[in-house]
Amino acid sequence: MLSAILRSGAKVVFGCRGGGCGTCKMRLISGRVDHGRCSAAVLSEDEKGAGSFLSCQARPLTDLTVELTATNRYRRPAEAYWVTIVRPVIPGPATPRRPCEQR
Amino acid sequence: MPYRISRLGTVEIRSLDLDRDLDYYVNVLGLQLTAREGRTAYLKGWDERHAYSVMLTEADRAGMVRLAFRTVDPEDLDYYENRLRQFSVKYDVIPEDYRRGRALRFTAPSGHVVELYNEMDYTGNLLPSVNPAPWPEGLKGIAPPRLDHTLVTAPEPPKAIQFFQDVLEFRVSEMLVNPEGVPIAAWLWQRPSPHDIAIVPGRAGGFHHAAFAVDSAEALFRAADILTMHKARIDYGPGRHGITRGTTIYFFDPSGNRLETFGGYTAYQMDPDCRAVKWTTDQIGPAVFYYSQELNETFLSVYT
Repeated sequence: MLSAILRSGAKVVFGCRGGGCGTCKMRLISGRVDHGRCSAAVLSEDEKGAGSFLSCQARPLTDLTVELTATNRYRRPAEAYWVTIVRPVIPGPATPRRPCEQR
Repeated sequence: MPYRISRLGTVEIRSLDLDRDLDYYVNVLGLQLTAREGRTAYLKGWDERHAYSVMLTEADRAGMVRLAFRTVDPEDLDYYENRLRQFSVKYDVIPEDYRRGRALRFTAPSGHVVELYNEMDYTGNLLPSVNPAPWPEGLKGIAPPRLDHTLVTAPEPPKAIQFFQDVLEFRVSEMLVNPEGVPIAAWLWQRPSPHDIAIVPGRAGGFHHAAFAVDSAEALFRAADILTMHKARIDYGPGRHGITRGTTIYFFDPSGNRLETFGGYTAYQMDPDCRAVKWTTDQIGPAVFYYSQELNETFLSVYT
């Protein structure tokens, strides 16, 4: 799926391409996929049921319509990540959410 | 203060498919497979003298299971047991593990399971111990001589950094400070090198990478060639870090764990009286990736 999306010219953010980091997680609007081998820590069975998939691992079984998430929709300058991740960390005690967990 | 930790002894990394990933670790990364017991494979670099330094364990997720430091002397384990008590750190005594003796196991404030041990079977490296050649012939893949360091993520880096400094007596070689002067990332050492472990902001228990030493510029570029020949997923490099001065290639294993070839040959050596180098967050670009001078979009967001 990720290869096809990149071939189409869409600019999406992705990470490890091994099903481990969850950066390329997207949502199905219609169609079915074979999920491939994904880390349960970044894609739970419940999420699969609700239509989420890791685009680096998933293979299409039908024609698909997919929705990108805020995490991977646009390429952003690295500074944006820095702000997102660091600002809640210092000095407060809150645990920052990884971008892939944001909705 | 004497050195009490000789090295990052072992890291246990999760694999989504052990057969597939083992092929990568042996033939592309080029580690030596020393044993396979059930769902765990034991590996090491060709110049490592003990039984193993990397455990690859099949699991339903990627990431790090645990990391372990080897103490210099057996008595150092007792010394650290006292310190753990003194700082009221909850720990378990692990009587033995595969080819390893007693260990102390605790969870660091970063959320990582950390162990300290001294005894592990001494198996020697791949060279004879009498009149050896400088390197063994017939190695496969990148074939790094040894595991060098690991970088992990922590929700509250200052707390995690302080734990490693106060309880385990690591020293800071370099740190990244925010405008308020708070260290939000640090590189920590006991072995006289830039770092044995580093901490950056992120999720509790997150595994950013494990690094393997390469000992020349030739080996660095050869590593990049090998990764590309095998269509491995290179994340960044070859390049250089401002912090530590080490050369680098970041790449991913097939389960998505980040690994690094770290060129310690360009890094400096720490002396006990060396003081920490500071980097300011506005210079995060050259601090992490010296030549491109800007952080890529994966460094702080992609890890397992």
